[in-house]
Amino acid sequence: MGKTIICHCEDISIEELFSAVEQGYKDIESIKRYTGIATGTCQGKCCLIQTLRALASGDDRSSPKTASESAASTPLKGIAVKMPTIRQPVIPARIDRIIKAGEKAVKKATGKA
Amino acid sequence: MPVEKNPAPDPHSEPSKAVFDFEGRSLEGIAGEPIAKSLFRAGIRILSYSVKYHRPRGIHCGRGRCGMCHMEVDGIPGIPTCNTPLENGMKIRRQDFRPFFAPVLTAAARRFPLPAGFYYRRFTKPVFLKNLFMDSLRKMAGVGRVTLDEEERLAGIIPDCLGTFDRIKPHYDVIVVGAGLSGMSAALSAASSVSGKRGDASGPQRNEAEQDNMRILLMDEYPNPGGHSIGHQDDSGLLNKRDDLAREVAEHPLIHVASGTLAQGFYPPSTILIAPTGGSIASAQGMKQVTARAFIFATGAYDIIPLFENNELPGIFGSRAARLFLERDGYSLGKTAAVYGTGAELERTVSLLLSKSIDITAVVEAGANPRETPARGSVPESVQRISNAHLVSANGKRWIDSATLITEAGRGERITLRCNMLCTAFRGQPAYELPHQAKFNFSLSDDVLDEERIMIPDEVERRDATGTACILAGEAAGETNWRRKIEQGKEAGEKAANAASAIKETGEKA
Repeated sequence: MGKTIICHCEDISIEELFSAVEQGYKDIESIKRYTGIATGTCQGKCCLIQTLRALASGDDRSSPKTASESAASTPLKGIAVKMPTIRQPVIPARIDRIIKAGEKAVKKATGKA
Repeated sequence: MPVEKNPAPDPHSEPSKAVFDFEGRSLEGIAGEPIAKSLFRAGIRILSYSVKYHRPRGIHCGRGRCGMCHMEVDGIPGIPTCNTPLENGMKIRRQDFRPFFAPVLTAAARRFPLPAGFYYRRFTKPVFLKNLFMDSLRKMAGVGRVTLDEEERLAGIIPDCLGTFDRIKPHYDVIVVGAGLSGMSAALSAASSVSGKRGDASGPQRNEAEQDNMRILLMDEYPNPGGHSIGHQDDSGLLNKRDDLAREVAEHPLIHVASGTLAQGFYPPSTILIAPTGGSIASAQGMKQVTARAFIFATGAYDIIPLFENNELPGIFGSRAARLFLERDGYSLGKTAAVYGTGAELERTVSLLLSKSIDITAVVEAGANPRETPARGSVPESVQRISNAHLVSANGKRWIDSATLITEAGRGERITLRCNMLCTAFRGQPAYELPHQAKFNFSLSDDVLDEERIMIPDEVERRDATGTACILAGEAAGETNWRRKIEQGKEAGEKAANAASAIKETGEKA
């Protein structure tokens, strides 16, 4: 207990995210690949926006920092905050259903030929 | 359109008892209600444990999206129990670490931090050991086997939506994804623009020939249209409008309403991949590709839980999930709630909780300048309000028992509120997946509060080189007011119909 989990599917804490940034992973695609954020069951529906917010908290906004205040000391400035590539299927689909769909398509194609 | 079975129990029919087995215990629930609800009533609140740190996870999003409630049902792993209906004789178990392994591995993970993706990065050599490691890890994580002969079993779990799915044609003029307020009004206005040009007409009764005339596909993952209008029971204007729209789309000769249908992906320029839902189980029917000349994404928005310590503890969920639990499923996850949020969403959530006679410990407003001036009329003065506070942690071992916040935006005093449910109520994140695949650009909003920042689309309309239009409407475009959502849907429908007919004309000329 006592952790701030940023990605609950892959169990990644906010510290792990910032340590990845410190190690030099400075864009969302490489952060995603290195930490595993947004690659779990929810495919980023719960964690991606949190990650982008945390990365952007180094922005120069003349306002009190709220979430991830501890992170404000991390050199986050200049990270490009953009959406990573989101691939199909949008919602986790059971692999056997995809296989089924494929089999059907093959049957249809060979049946026609 | 045939009336589909609703996963929520029908209030008019006699509830039938269902006996099910949970990890060797025989429990009783009501057939047709979500599995998670039956488990909750039987006192089982932890539905899974996290992979690395073995943290408890409970019901969270209510839509089968977050993965926290995934359990093994009748040997099929990964079933979202929060929206899969219970059946008599089901065998349900948690699918994560076996109790024997759990403490050892968790201790190891805490002592020697495992990097993310350790399960494919570590222990990769030599190869025979790698296979052994992968095999045992899969067993420990409860990942199941692919089963290709489950069709009949699954067909039972899935609500009766497959009929509509089978009738979906391979091509439409306009496809509307999401049958919320804006989606329904978009489909209607697109239909009237199309029929105005072509003069198609027929009565409300449909036969097979008329099915061929349908030029607009309106799809929604739920059995009943209405989207986020659930949980607005105090707003009769909205509910009447929703019912009117639902009736009109169902009777319109040009609109094919496909409920229980999920958009799984968009392939530019003009193909959408769809699958039937049932809970969220993609069915034995597999998936289908459908093309159109114009698309309207009215896919709504979802909750983002802000960052604070233990923000995934069971008992914490967003306001949209709260509406689903309270209104759709008809149960509350706690008796004493703390609500943390901003603006209209916060007020709406507080009045919903109060109407279900849930005690509210405190209403915590994040930030000094809420986005919208909230309508506080329905919330009595006696409810404690803490303004401009910052939530720092949720406390509890297996379920939330208190929440700690700091006043004056994190500079004032520390207050601990006792509660057994924490509801966060912020502006929702527009569903970005399909628009992103349709090449929409998103940027982070520049709100002052971190909790309010969301990715919003830079534009609401995009046209491909071929003329195929993709238009956003409703909450997917960042709109939160329901009257404006309907207006926006109307405009989107007209634009889509125009784009579709323009492509048709160029095609006919060529």
